[in-house]
Amino acid sequence: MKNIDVELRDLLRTGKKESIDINNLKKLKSIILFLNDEDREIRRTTQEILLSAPIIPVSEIVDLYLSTESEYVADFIVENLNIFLIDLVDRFSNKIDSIIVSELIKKIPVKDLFATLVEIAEITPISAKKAELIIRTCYPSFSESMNSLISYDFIENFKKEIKKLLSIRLKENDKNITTLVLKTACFFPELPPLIEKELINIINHSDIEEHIIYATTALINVENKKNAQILANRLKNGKDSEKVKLAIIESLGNIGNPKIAPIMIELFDEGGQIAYSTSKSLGSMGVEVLPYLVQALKEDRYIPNIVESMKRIGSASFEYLMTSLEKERNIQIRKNIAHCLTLVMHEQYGYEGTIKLLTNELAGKNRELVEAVTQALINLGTPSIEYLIDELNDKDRELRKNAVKILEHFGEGNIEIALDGLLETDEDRVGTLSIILYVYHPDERLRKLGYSFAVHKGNLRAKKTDKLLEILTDALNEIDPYIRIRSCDILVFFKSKAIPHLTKLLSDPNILVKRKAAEALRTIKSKRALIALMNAATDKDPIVSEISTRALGELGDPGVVDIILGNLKRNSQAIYEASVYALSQLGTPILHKITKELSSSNKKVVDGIVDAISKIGTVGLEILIKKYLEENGRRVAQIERIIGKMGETAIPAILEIYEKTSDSQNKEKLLRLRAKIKDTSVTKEIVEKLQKPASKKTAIELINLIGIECVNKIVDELLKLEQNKVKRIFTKNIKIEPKILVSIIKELKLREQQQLALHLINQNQRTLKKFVSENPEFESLFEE
Amino acid sequence: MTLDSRLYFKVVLAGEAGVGKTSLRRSYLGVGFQTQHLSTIGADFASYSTKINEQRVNFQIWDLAGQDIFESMRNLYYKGSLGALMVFDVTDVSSLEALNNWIIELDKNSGRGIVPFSILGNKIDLLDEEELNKIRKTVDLVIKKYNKKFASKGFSINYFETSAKTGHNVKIAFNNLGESIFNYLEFRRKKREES
Repeated sequence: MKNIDVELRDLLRTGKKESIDINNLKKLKSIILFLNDEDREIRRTTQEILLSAPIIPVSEIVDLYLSTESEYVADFIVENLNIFLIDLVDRFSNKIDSIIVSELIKKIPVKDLFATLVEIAEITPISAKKAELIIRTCYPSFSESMNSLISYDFIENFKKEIKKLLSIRLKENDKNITTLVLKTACFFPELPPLIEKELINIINHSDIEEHIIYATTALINVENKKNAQILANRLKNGKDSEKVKLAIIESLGNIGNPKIAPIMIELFDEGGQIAYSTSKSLGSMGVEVLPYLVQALKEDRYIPNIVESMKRIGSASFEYLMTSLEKERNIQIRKNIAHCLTLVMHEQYGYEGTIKLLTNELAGKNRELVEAVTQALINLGTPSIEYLIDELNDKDRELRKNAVKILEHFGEGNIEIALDGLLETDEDRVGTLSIILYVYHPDERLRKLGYSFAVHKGNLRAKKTDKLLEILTDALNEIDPYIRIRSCDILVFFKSKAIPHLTKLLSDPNILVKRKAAEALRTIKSKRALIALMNAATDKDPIVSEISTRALGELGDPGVVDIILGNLKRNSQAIYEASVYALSQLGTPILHKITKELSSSNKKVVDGIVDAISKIGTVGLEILIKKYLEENGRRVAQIERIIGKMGETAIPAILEIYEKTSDSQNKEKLLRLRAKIKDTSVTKEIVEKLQKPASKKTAIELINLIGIECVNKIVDELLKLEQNKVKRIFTKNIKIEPKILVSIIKELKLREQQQLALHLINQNQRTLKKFVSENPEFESLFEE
Repeated sequence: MTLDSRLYFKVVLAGEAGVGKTSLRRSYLGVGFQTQHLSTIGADFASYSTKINEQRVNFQIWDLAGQDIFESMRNLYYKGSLGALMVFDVTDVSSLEALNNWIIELDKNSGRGIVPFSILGNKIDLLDEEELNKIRKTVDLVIKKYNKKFASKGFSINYFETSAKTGHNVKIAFNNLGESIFNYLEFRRKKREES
């Protein structure tokens, strides 16, 4: 040590700071080396002197550190970093110095370092920003700090300097420094364009995974689509790790050069994360990759990845797929386009949206497109069915026609499955859909299925809302008469609400529709339809008339009787029968009116009334018989016809009147009516009359009226009498019909009344002989 | 186009990631087993025609992604399912436990509630008989639990041990599911008619 230094040292040791002129820079610089003195006191005094100087010899102090790498000096620098930092970072232009400085800076906590930079930035902001940039390229922890002073303007204004600085750092060929430079370039998007060449060089030649990944990532911000080819070339070499490949793939997605798409598509074959990331990247490249993706559909195996890309591209994918479906000639691609459509749209629009969009396409006339859409809908399976049914009543004929076809393709079984499934969640919808299916689908089997779902426990499954009514009334405007007809079938369930619509149909140009409307109105059975039915009853069409006439009868309004009587005259058996039915339905309230018509000169009217009254039953008959007795036996023929038609059912009514009647003449008339309807209970009265000469003739007439049915009971009654009395009854040539007489003889023989039988034979020999000659089978009866 | 007597059975392959759903599908379709695991994206779809109970059936097989990241989009694919194969990996018991969540998903998203499903223990080629016996005991309890829970639904749950690698039981499992679906549909029809 020189003498002067020894003196200085002594001075410093004694702490006599004032003896050193701090304004004398030369003197000041001479004490710097004491910063590295072993004596703590000397170092402290030196530091105090230096820090109190108006001009601190910063550079010299840093030089001392660079030459000695002294811990004491380092501590002093770090403790007063705000003074030294700018000088320190300036040393990075020298490679060796930069290493030493780097090591020193790395000792400072990131937080403190950034605080110092902020402090410096208050006075010299540009220097502080430059310092930060440099520190980032040497201090790994700091390079990850999210805090920064560096701004866009700073990079823009100091482009050249920054470019030079980063280039120098990269040229150092230090693995770690390169990593930090690249990391910094990734951190500030404005930096990569400044070192584009270097980045490309790394991508082309580096074999350090980390460098390639950062360089690739940084390249995203260069905004030069040509760089995609460089990345693609790197990908093609195939030697890189999955990590590197993933970075390149992501970068390619960001650079967005669609020409690279074919190379990327090949990566689908690698599967796993690579394939998935490629899908994502292609997706982020946007619509321009769609042509490449569609062409790649030649390969079935690419479908999932292509779908994933398309989903990310969004609605444009759907539109492009639809256009491709129309234009594409390759069958395999077309098939897969349909497949993709299903998946892409499904993801984006959900099930309902997808199917709705697809079904909208069914409105097109392009056969191939429709075919492909059909395939897509079938791919979606039975859930498509409900939406297809919805389209059956769409205004677009083409759409409807195609929906019909696809539903036919699905068939009963699948449609049943679909409707059944829906029952779990929305019974009302099932009801509506099945009505549409029933009304609109031309296939009978499907309609039948629709009806079976539409009607549940005798009523509509769907709520009878105005909307549903609207569906049905819209169907009434369809050109196809059968749709109108089937709509009527369902409208019936709406009862009175449907009447105005059904009434309109009574003037439908199609006769079948008119008939169905009449039938529907009949089923509804509401007096609100009376006027319409009265008009329809006189319709030219016999079936419309027949149905309406029946309906009028069922409504029970006596005011319609004239129309029905009028219909009796029409030349149609069906209308005649309907009128008879209607009159009988109207019942007793119209009896007075119709019995007056029994004197009509029109035979059909009389016949019809007779038929009707016979159908009305005992109530009608009672009234009629009373009238008959009052009118002194007029219209006996009609009454007999009525009774004849009623058969045994007429007996109670006549019997009741008979028992209440005291007038003998009327009683006899009633007795005749009873005999006419073969009421065998009259036999007692008959046998009584047979015994009296005055009434014997009537009794015989009554026997003949009843016929052989009365034989048993007559014989019963006869055998209650003495034999002589019986013999007196059966005088010679009694006017009982031979057939009845033979039956009586036969019955007497069976009951072993040989004498009486013989008496009857002897008394009526001539009649019986004649009878036997005509009926030889009875010969044995007379052998004895 | 004429009326088609073919029935479309949409079925889903469900289960945790990597249990072998896609391989089972490929094995069934005859595309062959791929040793490299490809994670399905959301769902993948394939169809296969066969005859079950003398009826032509087109299985529309939706292979659902097992990864959690696909959960939200996966739910969309359940709609309209008539059946499911719930797959677990016999070498990973946790994948059997996880089936409960898949069954809940199926119930929630099929649009018709719970539908017939079978449980498939896949990758049996990786275990020996003793280890398989242990698994069978656990599966038995699981099957009993579900059969009790869904007793009124018109189907019963079966268990199949499969190997997508060797193709063991794969076809049988699919066909059995098809039959279960038939029975279920018949049950539903009868119930509908009765009501």
